[in-house]
Amino acid sequence: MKRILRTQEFIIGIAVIVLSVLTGVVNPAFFSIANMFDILRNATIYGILAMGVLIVIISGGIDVSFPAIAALSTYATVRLLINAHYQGSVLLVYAIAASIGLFLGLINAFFISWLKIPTLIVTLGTSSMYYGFSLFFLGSLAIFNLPGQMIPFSKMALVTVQNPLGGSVGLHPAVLIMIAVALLVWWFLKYTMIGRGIFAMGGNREVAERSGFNLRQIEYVIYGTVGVLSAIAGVTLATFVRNAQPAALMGTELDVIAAVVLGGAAITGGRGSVIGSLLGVLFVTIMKTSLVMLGIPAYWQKLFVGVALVIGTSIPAIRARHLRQQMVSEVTD
Amino acid sequence: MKALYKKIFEQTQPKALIKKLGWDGYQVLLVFIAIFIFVLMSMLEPHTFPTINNLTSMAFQISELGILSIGMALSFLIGGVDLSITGTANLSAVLAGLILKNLLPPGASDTQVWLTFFLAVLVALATGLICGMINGLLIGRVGVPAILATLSTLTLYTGITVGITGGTPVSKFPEQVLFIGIGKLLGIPIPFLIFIFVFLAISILLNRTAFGFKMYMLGTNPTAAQFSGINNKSIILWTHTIIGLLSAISGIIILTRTNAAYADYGTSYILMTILITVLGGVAVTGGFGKLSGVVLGLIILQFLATGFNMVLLKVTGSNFFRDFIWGLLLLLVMVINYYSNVQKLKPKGR
Repeated sequence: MKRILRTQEFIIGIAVIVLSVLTGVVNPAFFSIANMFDILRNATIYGILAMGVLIVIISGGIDVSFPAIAALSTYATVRLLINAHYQGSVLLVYAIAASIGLFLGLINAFFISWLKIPTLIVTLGTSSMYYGFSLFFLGSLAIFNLPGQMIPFSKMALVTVQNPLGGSVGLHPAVLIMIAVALLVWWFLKYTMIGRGIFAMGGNREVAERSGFNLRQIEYVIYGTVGVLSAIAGVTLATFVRNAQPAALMGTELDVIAAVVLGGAAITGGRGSVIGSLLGVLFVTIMKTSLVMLGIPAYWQKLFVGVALVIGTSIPAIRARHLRQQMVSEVTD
Repeated sequence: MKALYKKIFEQTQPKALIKKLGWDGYQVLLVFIAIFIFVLMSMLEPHTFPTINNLTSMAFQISELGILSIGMALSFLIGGVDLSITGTANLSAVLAGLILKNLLPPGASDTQVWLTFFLAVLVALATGLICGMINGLLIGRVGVPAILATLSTLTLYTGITVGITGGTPVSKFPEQVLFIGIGKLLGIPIPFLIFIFVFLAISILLNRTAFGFKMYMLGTNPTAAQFSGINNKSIILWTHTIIGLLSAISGIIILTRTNAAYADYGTSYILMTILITVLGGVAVTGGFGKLSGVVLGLIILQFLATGFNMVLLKVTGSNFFRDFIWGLLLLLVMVINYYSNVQKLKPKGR
C-alpha cells in the first residue's frame, strides 16, 4: 500500500482529482456530462500520441518527430484518396495513413540504430524533413473536402446528451480507438518479449544486449509503432476538425511529452506506465479546460503547463537522489 | 627586425596557422566546403550573391543565430543540451521591449531614450541570467536530465512570455535604439560586431581559463571530473548562466533588428543551432569541439540559406524546401561524423 502511495502515478491521479474538484467548486458546469465528453474528446488525440511517446521514453529515447509524422501521413493520404475519388469507408484512410506512418517511423529507426546518436537529434532532423516535405512537395493549404466517409464519420456519436447551454453533445467513437490503443500498448509492454525488452533497454542498454535482446529489432519496433500511432492520431484529428493540414499538430510535441513525463515515465528510460501516461494526458487536458472555466485567460495556459512540468520533473529527480543517498549511507553504515 | 618578419611569415603560412588554431582536418574541410559553396552560389547568381550588399545582409542575419549557436555549443560541450535558448531570448526581448514601450513618454529626448534602453538591456541580461541559472540549478543541483529540464523551462519561459504579452507582439520601438540592430560602424553591421565580441570572449573562456578546461573535462567524463576535484554542479550552473546571458544578448539583437518581440520568434532556431553546432564538429556526447568550427558551420549554413533563397525562391516560390534540406543536412552530417569516427577508432597500422 505504501508503495502505491509513493508512485508518480498516484500523485498525478491525486492532482487530476484535486484540479477537477477545485474547478468544479468554482464552476459547477465542469461536472456536466457535456464537459466530460468534451474533455474525453480533447484527450483522445493526445492520448493516442502519448502511447507512442511512452514507448519511446521507456526505451530511453525521445522522439520529437511524431507530430510531423502525423501531419505528413494524414495529409498525404487525404491528397492521395481525393485524387483517386475515393468514396468508401474510413478504414482504408486509417490503413493507408498507418502504412505511411510506419514507413516514416522506420526511417527514424534506421538512422537511430545505424548511427547510435542521441534520438533527439535524429528526430529533430527528420521532423524538419517531414514537415518540409509535406509543405513543399504536397502543398501548404488545408484540405476541407475530406475523402470517403470521413465527414459522416466525424458526425458519429456513441451517446448523445443535451447540453444545458443548448444543443447536444455526442461522445465520438474515436474515444474507443484511444482505449483500444491504450489496452494494446499495455498488453504489448507487459506480456510480450519485445515489450519487456523495451524496459530492459531503457534500464541499461548494455545489460539488455548481453541478456540476449536484439536491440536493433526492438528499435525498429519502437519507432515503427510510434509512426503508426501518430498516423492514427493524425487521421482522427483530421476527422475531428474536418480538414487536413500539412502543419497540423506542429508544436504539440512538448505538451504530449509533458503529459507522459508527468505520468511518471522516466526520461532516462526503464520506467513508465500506460495508466500514468493517460492520467498525465487527462491532467494536461483538464488543466487547459479548467483555466478557461476559472476565468483565467487562455494565453496563460502554457505557463501553467510549464510550471507543472518543472515541478513534475523535479520530484522524481529529487527522490532518486534521496534514494541514492540512503543507499550510500546504508553501505557506509 | 628580420626575425620578426620571419616569425610573421611562419605564422601566416597556412600550415602554421592551422597548427596555431589547434585545428584538425575537419575544420580545414569546413573551410573548403564554405569556399566551395560561396563559389558555387556566386556562379549561379553572379549579380546578387558575391556583392558587398549581400555580404552585409548575411552578416546581419548571422549574428543572432551565431550567438545562440555558441550557447548551444557550450551546452553540448559539457555533455548536455539547452533547448530553452529561444524561450530565454524571447522572454528577455519582450521584457526589454515592454520597458522601452511603457517607460518612455512620447517625444522623449535622445538621452532619455538611451538611458531607458540601457535599463532595458540590463533587465534583459538579468532575465537571461536568471533563466540560465534556473536551468543550471535544475540540471546540476536537482539532477533533472538536461533534455528534460530545458524542455520544461522552454515551456515555462515561453509560457511567461505568452502570458505577459497576451500572445501579441510588442513592437514599434523608438527609432534611436533600432540603430543597434540595423546600424553599421565603419561599414560593419553592429550586431555582427557584437557577435565577434561574444565569439572572442567565449573563445578566451574556453581556451585560456581553468573554467573552460573544466568544462571540457566535465563533458568528456563527469565521473572522472568529479573525482579529480571539479565541482560539477557549479560548472553546470555557470555554463548555463552564460548560455542564458548569450540568449538575452541575442534577444536584444532580435528586438532591435526586427523592431518587434514576441513569444514564437525563431522556433526553427533550435534545429538550426543544433545543426550548426554538429556541423561545426562539436560532439553530441560532449567534451569535444572548437568554437571556430561552430563559426565555420554558421557561415556554411548562412551561405546555403541565402543561396537557396536566391535560386529556389525564383523557381518555386516556396520556402519550405529549406526545412526539408536542414533536416536532411543534419542527418547527413551525422552520417559523415559516424564514418569519420569509425576511421579514427580503427587501430592503426593494420
